[in-house]
Amino acid sequence: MAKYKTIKIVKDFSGTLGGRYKTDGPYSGELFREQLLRPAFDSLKDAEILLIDFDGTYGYPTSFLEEAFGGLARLFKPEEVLEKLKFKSDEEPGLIEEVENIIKNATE
Amino acid sequence: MKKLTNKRKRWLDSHAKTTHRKELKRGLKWDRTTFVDYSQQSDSSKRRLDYQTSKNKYDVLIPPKNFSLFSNPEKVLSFFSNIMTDVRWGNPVYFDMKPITNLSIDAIMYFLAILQGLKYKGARYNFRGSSPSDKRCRHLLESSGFFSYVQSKSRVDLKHDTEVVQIASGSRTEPSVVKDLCDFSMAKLKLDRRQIKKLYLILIELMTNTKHHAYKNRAFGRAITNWYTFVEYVERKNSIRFIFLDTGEGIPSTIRKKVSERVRNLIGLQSQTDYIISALNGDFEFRSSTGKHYRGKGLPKINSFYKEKYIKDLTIISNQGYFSERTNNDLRNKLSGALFYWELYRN
Repeated sequence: MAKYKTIKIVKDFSGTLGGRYKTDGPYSGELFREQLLRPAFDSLKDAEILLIDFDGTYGYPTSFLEEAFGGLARLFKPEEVLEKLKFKSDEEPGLIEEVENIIKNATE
Repeated sequence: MKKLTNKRKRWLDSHAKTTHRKELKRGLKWDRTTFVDYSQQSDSSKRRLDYQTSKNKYDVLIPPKNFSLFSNPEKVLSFFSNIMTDVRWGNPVYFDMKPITNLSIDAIMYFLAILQGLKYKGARYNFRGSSPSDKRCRHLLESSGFFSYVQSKSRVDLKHDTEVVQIASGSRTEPSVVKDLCDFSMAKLKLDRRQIKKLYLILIELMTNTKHHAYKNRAFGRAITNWYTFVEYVERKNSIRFIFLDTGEGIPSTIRKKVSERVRNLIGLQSQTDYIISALNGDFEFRSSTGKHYRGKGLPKINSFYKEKYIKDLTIISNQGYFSERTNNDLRNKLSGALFYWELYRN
């Protein structure tokens, strides 16, 4: 049975998210990826899954999501990221498919 | 009202010349934009103002009575280009808003952007003005927060109007500002947080675009790209109207172009409105000026919210392009940057 590590974005990062890059302003996708997402991803052991909980925030700008998750997929491979990441979004179910598409299409 | 004596007129003439020379010398250290509410001035102040403007001490600029970029774009843009010309020549300018009968805050925001651009250019300018005589227009100007951006000699009550969120500006993406606008919308339209997620996304994307597609906008001086927002609750429609201005290069200027479009541009046959429509549709991966296929998704996302009627009356003016439900024709005059308008309803 898979073990889960969880990142609840509203609690661990912010309820009001920003733009794409750190230079854009606070709570950017780049900052989220560097401070939280990548360290958690790197520390996953075999058979561990990283669960991203999207609920509770004011919303997810496209550029934030693309830089956070697309950026991670450009560092590793999309297939590897999709294998190790799982998502929870009760408030906005369509968000999961959007993030998965961002990861699949995230090539340079 | 008593007439001015000749002695008094001569004193005003010499005093105005000396004051103006001193102010021009000091112009680089501080901008001088002073507004007065003409109707609140004493008789002697009114006489002095009338005399100074009548004797060409100032270039008097009178805006169109319908001072709205969305409903009267050609005349208002033409008026603003005259301001830039006059200030460039170092002339003191008097912006006489008394005749305005229809005012919308988009024009005021663009005016503030021009003033800020002049300040950053280091232009020496002396800019004065008066508020509209029309009570409704004057009230809208006061409640918009305009007077917190200029010096005012009027007894303006800056108490916040609870039906508006006053003009805010910045150069970065500011989640806290967007949160305030969303909280205002939730309170007025009785929405919950899930229902304003798309609104949050729209505002963050527009602010982020301002930063990313900055470049050097010569109309506003150095690479100063700011955004300005204004939000108003319209009780009779139970809706909220949003105005967002960014002082970047504008969508038609920054969008990547096909070879055929560049050729049509050179001979003046390319429609700028078509560029706006193309950016909204997300046509062709390469439309993003960065050249990266995973960029440039913000405007198509906003357009999808418009098509599914989450927001209504989306209108965009950028450079000479004008996109709206009712018209998609190019303008003769140019707006530097991009101006967005939309409405949000409860349903």
